[in-house]
Amino acid sequence: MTTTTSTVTMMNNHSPFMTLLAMQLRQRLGLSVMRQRIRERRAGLWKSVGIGAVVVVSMGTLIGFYTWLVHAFGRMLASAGLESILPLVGISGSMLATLVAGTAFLLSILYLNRDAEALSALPVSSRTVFAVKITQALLGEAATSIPLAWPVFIVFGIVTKAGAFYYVKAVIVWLCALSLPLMLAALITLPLMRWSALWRRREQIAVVGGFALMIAFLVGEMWLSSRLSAMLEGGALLQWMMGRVDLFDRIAGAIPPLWLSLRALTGTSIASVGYLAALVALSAMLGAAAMWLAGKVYQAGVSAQTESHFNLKSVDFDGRIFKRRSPRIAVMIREAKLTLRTPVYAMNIVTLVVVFPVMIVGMFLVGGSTNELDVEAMLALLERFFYDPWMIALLIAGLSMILGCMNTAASTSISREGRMFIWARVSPVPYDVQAEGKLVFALALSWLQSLFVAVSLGLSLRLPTAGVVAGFLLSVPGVIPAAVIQMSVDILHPKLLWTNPVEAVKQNMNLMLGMVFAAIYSAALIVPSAVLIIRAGVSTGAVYAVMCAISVIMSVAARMLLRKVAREGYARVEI
Amino acid sequence: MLKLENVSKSYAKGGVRAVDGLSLEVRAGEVFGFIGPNGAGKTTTIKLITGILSPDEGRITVGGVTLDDDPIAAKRKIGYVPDAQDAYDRLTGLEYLNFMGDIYGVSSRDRAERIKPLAERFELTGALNGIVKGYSRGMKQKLALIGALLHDPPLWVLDEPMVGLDPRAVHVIKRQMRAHCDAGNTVFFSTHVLDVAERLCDRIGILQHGRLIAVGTLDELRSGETGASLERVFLELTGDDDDIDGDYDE
Repeated sequence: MTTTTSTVTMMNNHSPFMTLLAMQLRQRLGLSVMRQRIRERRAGLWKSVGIGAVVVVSMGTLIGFYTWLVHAFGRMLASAGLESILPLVGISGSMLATLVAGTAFLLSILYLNRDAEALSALPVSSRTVFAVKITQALLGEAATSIPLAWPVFIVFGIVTKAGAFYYVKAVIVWLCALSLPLMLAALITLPLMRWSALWRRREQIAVVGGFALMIAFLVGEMWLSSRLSAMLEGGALLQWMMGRVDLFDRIAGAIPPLWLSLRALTGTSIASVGYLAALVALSAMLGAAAMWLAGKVYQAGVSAQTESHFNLKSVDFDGRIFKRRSPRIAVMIREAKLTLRTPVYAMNIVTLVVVFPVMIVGMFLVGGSTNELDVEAMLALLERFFYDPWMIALLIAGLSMILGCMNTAASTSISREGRMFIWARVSPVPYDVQAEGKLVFALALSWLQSLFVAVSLGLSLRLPTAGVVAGFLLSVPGVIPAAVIQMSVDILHPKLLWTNPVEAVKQNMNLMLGMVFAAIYSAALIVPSAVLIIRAGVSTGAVYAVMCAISVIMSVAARMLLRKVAREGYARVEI
Repeated sequence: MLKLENVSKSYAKGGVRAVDGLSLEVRAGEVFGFIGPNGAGKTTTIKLITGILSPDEGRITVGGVTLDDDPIAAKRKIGYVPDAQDAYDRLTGLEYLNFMGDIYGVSSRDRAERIKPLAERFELTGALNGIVKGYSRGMKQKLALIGALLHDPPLWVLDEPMVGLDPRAVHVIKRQMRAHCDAGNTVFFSTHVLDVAERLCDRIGILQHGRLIAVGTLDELRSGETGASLERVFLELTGDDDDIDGDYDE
């Protein structure tokens, strides 16, 4: 009784914002579920701890290697007096990553959460709910950004022998670099969702709008980069290196928040505090604008997302609508429909298929960080080193295999089922057949991505058609083992207890585990091929043939592995 | 048609025994009602029968096929309607039914012949082209019922089938259950509505703390207590005597 009373009193002392935020974080981080699992499954605890340890060690190794690279690069830059490039890369990278990934995340937690209705019914203002959601997004992006941005900030601090004040400024600049793009994304998505609410097919509009927004951000970033590179032409870089031109002033014309961040972070005088204050003020202004807009339109947008377009057209039972398919194909089609129609899944899974080809085309055609001269230089390089179609084919297949390691459709295929996994157990379809249906869908996305990559590279770099076709053909069996590895990880340890589909696709350890294991497999194939060609001088045609043979054999082996894992893994999962 | 032999299931590594040595036989052509207080193990039992959970001990046989020996053949004989509306929200009703037809290997002709009358009976024809997310709770339940009947299963397993249904739909489903049994099939369902169990079931099983504490026809359960309602029998068997003293208006 005393405990209950004190808990209530404690909760009453918090503001609605803090209470809601604490509840959301507990729910999203799964702390309550974790506590219950520890209580209930003490025997299986070591397995979970072991998997967690593998993730931590894998991630730690990657971050350690990245930090070592940044440090080596930083020392090299410092010796040439160019150490300011470090924070430039760190801040612009954080801003871009938050803008692209954060927009999808923000859309999903603002509008597509299952708790939208429950939160609407609470006696809390929509502005408070919005503030909680955007804080949640900020914390999520901060967690992702720490291993990427902070090694850069710390290395810069070390090479410039910066004092404690630098690190205080770094924290503030870093938070602004995350919140500015998020606020910008909010200012774009709030009217977009309000507008989509006026339409019947609002979910489709949200999915298409989200895609368009992400592609627009990418193209916009490339355009800014092209402006930057144009500004640095004509010996500007040389002049800057000689101290005659300030690089920061050049950047200012393109991205003012980045300029303010760099001035605030790298300056040592009192003026840097002024820049820092200006940066904070800019963030606050954007935040205030987003809050004001949220007060006006957020609730209407949320309410609209809980409604569904309902087709009242009667069914014509003429028999043609009932086309019989095999269970494998039925599962594949169901996966495709559910993924494309669930905005969170569509934006997190299908995005990858489109984003990389867009980046390639944007880089070489729209006008990204390289210009016509760069393309010519690259072609000359290709002619020198990648002198035959087989080499180009290997290049395209290698790139497809690397991208295949990020196949979220495969690495979350079971977790996405959530409570619906009961149907997998009820169905009179062997577990391995069900898993194969899911694999075919995941592979279809990978193959589509490979095709886009091959075509966009072929068009952008004017590569010979034979090489492009051969590259795509090799990538067809090439991406299968990686997808199977990612799927197997999810089958053996699925995350089925979630309240929000975002948890299944973004806050899922299997994503990282699958990526690491798939990357190890891909590296084991790609690196020896490169060594054989570059060091041993083996003909590229022969390496291509060997790679084809290995990929086909490994694909067959992967299929057998998946069938075994599915037969045993599905039977173990109980919900 | 359905036989459970000494079936047990524990959660939390043996900490909670949800089903404890349950033995039961349900005959062909029978409507069998499964009642019990909240947490008695009804849903767990149904999940064990349908293969969602695996028993720790015991054996489950469906239509002569043991679930352990040939789970695919056993599952083919079952039509299952879960307790919550676990439906694929982003499919249309028709897509869902087609998916179930594909999974259970129902021919195109049989689908056309079976879906139309069932949809008309449950007044769902006008909604089948709509996304399930837009359905009401009752409509989702009706869709799940049609999906479970699509392959004409000899054993129909329903977990709380009346929840969320309007009186007309409840009437239709009761008729459907009776018709299914009259055709020589079996219905096994759990419910909290004792009145439904009393009127509809050929036999009733009462579950408490994972154990079957009583099973039989209503007359057998009354055990000579003339005129006692199922509610009174249920309260007597599952609760303290104090709980059932007096009438509602006292």
